[in-house]
Amino acid sequence: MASKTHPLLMDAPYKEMLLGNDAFVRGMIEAGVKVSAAYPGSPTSEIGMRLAEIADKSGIYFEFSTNEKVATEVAASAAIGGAPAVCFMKSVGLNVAADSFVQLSLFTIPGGLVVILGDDPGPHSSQNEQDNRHYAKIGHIPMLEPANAQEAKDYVVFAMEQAQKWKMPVVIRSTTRICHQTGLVEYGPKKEVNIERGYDPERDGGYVPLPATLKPLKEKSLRNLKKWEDLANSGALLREEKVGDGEPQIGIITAGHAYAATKAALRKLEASANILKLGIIYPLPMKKIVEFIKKNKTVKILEELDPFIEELVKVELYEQGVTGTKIIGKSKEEDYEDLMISEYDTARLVGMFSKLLNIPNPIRYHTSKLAIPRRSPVLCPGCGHRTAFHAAKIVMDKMKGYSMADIGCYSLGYLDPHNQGTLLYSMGSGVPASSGMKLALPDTPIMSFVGDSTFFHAAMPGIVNAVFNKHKHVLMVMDNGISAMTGHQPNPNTGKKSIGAPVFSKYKDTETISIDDTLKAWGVKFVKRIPAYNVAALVEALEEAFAQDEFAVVIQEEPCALMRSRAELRAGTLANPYQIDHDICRNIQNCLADFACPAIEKKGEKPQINTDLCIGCGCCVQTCPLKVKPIKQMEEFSRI
Amino acid sequence: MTGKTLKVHVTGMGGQGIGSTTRVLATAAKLAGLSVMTMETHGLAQRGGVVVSDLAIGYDPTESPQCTIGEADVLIALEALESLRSLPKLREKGIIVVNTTTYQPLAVRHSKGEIKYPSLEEIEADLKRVTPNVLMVPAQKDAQELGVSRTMNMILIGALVANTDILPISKEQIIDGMKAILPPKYVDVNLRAFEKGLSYKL
Ligand SMILES: Cc1ncc(C[n+]2csc(CCOP(=O)(O)OP(=O)(O)O)c2C)c(N)n1
Ligand code: SF4
Repeated sequence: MASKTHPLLMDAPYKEMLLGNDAFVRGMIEAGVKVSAAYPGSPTSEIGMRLAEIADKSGIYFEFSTNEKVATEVAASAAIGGAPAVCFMKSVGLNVAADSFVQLSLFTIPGGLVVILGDDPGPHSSQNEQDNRHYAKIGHIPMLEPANAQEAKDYVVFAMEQAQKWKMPVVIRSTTRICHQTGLVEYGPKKEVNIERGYDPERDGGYVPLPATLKPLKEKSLRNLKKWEDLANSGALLREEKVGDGEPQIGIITAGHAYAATKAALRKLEASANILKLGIIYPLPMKKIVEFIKKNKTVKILEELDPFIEELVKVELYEQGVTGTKIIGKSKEEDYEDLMISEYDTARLVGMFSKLLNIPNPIRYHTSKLAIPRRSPVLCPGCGHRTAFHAAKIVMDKMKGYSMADIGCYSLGYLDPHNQGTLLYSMGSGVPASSGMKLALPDTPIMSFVGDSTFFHAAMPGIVNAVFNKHKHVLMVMDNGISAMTGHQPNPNTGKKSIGAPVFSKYKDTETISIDDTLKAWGVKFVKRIPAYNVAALVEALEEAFAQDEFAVVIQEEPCALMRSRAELRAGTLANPYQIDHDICRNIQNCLADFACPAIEKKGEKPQINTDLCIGCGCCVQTCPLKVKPIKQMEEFSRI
Repeated sequence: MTGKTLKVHVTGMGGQGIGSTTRVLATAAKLAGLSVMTMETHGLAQRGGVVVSDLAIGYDPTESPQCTIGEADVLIALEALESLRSLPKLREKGIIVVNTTTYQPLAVRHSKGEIKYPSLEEIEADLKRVTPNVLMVPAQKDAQELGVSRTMNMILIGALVANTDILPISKEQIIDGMKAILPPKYVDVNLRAFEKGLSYKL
């Protein structure tokens, strides 16, 4: 059977419903990208999964790098050597990449480099909602912001063309709402890129910024930015439109999803307005913006998060002495704090414009009269992190210690009933947090947790620091063999061992890089690997680790249960669920109160296992204090 | 009679097939030559979180497809409690299709009785307070009979199609949508699930 062409690889003319993240991939295909690198992070994770899936057919090399800084350096250097390259990351990923990112504009990059950022106002899946537009200013790098899937695709092509023309990096700033929407995308032609591969270390002042060599490099970078200002002022990616049938009541300057939500809000209000929709958000098309402002009596600068555009525009208006138009932003508004926080969805904008334009709010809706129980995210049924937290809690409660958190599915250990991992800065911060806490509280037992992906991403320097500076605390490595939280991407610890892990041809024969050997090579003497499902063994290992006179590590090991159970369900090998025999059960409810497996529900006043959710791991049996256990595996069950 | 525009809000728990529910309808709309967009809101990989997905058919493609409060013509809840959480999305006299499957949140499991999961009767009555068009569908039982639990969403789509004339897409186009996006191996059972759904009447 002839294999069907992947929808992303079709030739134009063609139209396909694409997820924003797939639209970025299509953009890379059309732009002739040859190298791409990323570290996963929502909302951009699906870009990497797709690139990995189609790597053999697309001709685009893709790697999951160990972190965002590495990904940026890999992609940028490929582009310096002449290969069109893209790297991408989530909002906070740029903090990790920043050290090299801020150098990019100093270099002449002939292959073309585009950086795609997934900001997360809300936030939906991040530890903050930082506004990465500021990085464009810090790095002197132009930045574009698409407003839908079609633009996501088009802007990659545009950005790469300009990046190659002026041999400088370009950033596309996206947000969760763009990455996770689908729309019909009209394809363009796939470009033939004829850039010569090669490397001239001395080109345009070279590639080694030092105090002595920096000045001309920085001058070049500022000159390049000026070219972008001219491009923006020429009207590139800029759209002025009038909406509504009446006399425009207001002018609105906006970009990205805020623009798309504005369009919906104005329709609902039946309001009329002039909109200046920006595609290039740094440097701003100031000439066009000032012209637009002069044409309107009142202008609302509408942007989520920080008043980035507002502040730049206000400086320009001051410089030009423009005073005839009332400018409404957020920095001087009474509800400043509210305006700074979270997304601007359509309903919020309807409320905002209804006040501003004095139009009654047309939205009518009903809410439930019943009390709706909150539904917070929980670890999946059978997750090895749960048994590990159960053991850690037993030890921490007994020793009256504290545990430090890190980032991954296991961040959820913080929630009830385990309450493990109580201080979190960012990826890799758990071990240094332990070191600092231990300095302040030398007599208190302190431990931390780290996932395998996070171990290689950012935890290693902190661990080496703990060994080097002789800090005495305990680390538990949460080894599920995958970067689970972001949707199961392979990491250096994955190798061939993770059951059900997505198989990408690139990583098919990859050997696991041993965390145990790595730790031992650094001089950690106590490294114990324990199956996660064995609570008693974990408790014993932790107690032993705390008895050491130096930094000690326990590794809990169990493949991600979600991934494993999916694979086993497909193969028909998933174990039968458990059930509670209520003739034996004395309704002590430890299984409910201490364990919090989503499969154990409360029916009437008794625990009952939801066989639909139970993956048959049997871990909960360990929480029952009765000698004869009422929790038993079902002998007959057909999984559907 | 078919309207020109349609907004559908789908809610449920991660892993219940929220994405494929909107994808089938969206593909049907695409095949019908209509403008179509979707937007999904999901947390992270773990199970147990709420996932919602919005579908906008026939709208200006420069507009956000997000379904805002009071806007959904159709609300599909793959989990019963979530129909209540999403109720504000529904427009006046909109239609609600609810799967009677329940997943108990941690808050209920951990409470000493002060936080309760409302009964299906309470849920139905509360929804009917707002609109007469409420379909409670025991899709889990049906899916069990069909032998594939992941067919629940197609049963709900069938129930929707059988009970409204506001969809700008036809039954045949929805079937084509299913054939276009589902793995070939599962098309047949999903078609049967869809047929099963058609038998539900308000
Ligand atoms: C700097 C940064 N990059 C990426 C992320 C997104 N992210 C959150 S958790 C995670 C992976 C965690 O994997 P692992 O440590 O193995 O834990 P698991 O989820 O598998 O338990 C990633 C990439 C982030 N929060 N911060
Ligand atoms: S996705 Fe995997 S690691 Fe994350 S909570 Fe679920 S089972 Fe645990």
